[in-house]
Amino acid sequence: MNFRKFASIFYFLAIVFYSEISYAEKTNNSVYEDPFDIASGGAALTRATQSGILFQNPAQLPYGGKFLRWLGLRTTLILGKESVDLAQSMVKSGSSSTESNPSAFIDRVLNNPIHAGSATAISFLTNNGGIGLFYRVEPDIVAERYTKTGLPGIALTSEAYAGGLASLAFRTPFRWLSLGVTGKYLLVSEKYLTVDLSDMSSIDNLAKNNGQEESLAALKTGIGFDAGMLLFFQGPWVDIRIAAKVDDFGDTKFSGGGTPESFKQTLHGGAALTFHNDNDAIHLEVNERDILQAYGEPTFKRTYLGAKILLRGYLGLGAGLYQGFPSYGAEIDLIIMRLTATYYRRELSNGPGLNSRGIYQLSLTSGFDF
Amino acid sequence: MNIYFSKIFLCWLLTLEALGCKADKNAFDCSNPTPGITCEEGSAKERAKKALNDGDSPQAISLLEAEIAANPEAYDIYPLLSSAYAAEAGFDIFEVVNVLGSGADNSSVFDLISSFLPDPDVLTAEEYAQSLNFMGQAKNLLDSMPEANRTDTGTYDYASSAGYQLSLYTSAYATMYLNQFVAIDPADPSSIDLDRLSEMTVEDAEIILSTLADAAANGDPDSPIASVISETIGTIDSQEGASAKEKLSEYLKANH
Repeated sequence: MNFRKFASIFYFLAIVFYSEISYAEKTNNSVYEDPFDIASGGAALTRATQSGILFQNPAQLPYGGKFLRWLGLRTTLILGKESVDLAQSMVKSGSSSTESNPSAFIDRVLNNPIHAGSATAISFLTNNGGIGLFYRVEPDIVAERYTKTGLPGIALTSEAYAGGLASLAFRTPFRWLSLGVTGKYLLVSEKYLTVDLSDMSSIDNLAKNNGQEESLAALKTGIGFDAGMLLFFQGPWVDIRIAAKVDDFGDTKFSGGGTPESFKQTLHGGAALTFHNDNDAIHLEVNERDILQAYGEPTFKRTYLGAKILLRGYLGLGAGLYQGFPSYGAEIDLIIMRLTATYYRRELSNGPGLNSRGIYQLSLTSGFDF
Repeated sequence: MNIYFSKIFLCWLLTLEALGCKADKNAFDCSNPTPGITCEEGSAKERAKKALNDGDSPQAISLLEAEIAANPEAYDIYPLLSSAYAAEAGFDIFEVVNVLGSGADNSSVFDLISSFLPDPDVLTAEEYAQSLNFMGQAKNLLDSMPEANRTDTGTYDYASSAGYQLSLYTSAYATMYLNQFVAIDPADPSSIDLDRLSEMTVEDAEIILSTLADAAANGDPDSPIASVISETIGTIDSQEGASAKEKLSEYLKANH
């Protein structure tokens, strides 16, 4: 085989960048979710965990008992289940099998997306307010034998969020009703890049557009507001909670042009039953997010159902349905720190099971429950 | 009391189990419905893409054909359906990896493209005819698109892929058509079987060469595959012979 033919084959196989970058659509999910809340099906509008309160529903703050509620930091490591499986299989098979059977290696890579990330949230909560800072970065890379245009390719989805929140909340003269608002400053980057087999003209287009395209790391900034309410009917053994929240009131617009231009205003609702004694509780909750379908997502992606069992404040178990997929996890309080382990599955398409990711979250929390 | 709450939690888990909450199974999945829950499906295009990636090209074809029948101007679906036809024809671009690994010398565009096409010596005549038919459908479907929808002008994100696939599948069709008449001589592995080659008619040769010319014309003239095809057509034209069949036969004898 001469060099020209080899070069022809190489270019034939060359994976080149599209000259156009499109952007992932925002979903109904909050920009940050506490890992234990995720373990409990993601249903946390009526009862969220620590920093999660600022993101889920600030109206929860007045029902914490003491004035000072929480000061602490939670750091989370995010790993895709398929990524872990791929790493395990490659370690077991060793490098020699890759060299002797390249097509098997390609099949293995094609079937296992790489999904990883991290998140951190630090917050200070009281009965009437709270402040917090956070970030979450969660890129996803998947090689597909067939992309939506029919050729092999690689799809990169990048989600990066950071910012600060400040919340105020109070009980109304009706003791069972509380209201809360959150002001937030967000830095956001949501990108979806398709690297596809195409012809050489796309390379030329990319070279001509070089420098004009936004980099993957570019962040957009915006200021937004959320408002929530919580109806809390407390009994000796059973509590009933009903919550409603508006996210991104009036739309949260971002500066810098391009997309995402804004986060749309969304309405969420939730209801819960809590069975409890003085020390322990089991909390059952169902949430429906984006009730008015501002993002046009199907029902299963907006439905969250879960349970938390909380034993003496030291052990928490969670289980539920996160967008229809089972989720579960546990949290243990070791006094000087808390450890949380969560597994859930997240759907990236608009059909159940068409493009989902199994995700492990391991979380370490340091802080004070006052 | 802890045991009491643990029992409640256990009941909750059993409820989830009753709802069909197997690990990683979605309660809203129509392929395995959960009692009491209205199932949901994604779009036909999303389902077809998953079916293709799972190796179920007939399911993908069924979904996309129905979608196009309902909406003939949904040109964004055409490239995906075309790739489903090609997959059903036995087209597997990743086979080229095995070919490169084997060290085989692919001295012509026919050898190159043949590396990821079905082998007529392995399939029966009927099976190969069916594969050829599917490859024909793959190229004809893309050919039926308006040219603006398969020319990369930045208007449609699928246009570049459609144009590239049209060139690829047209070349593949020509190669598959030719491969019906090309086989290694059992008595001399360095030569082709002349008896098989003699079965090719003048009309067959003209179909092969005209299809190759279409492949070069439809694709980006600057793309490597277009240049390889053009070079091959030029080499065939330069062979001795009065008819397309004679020129093509001489080319095949010289390059095997």
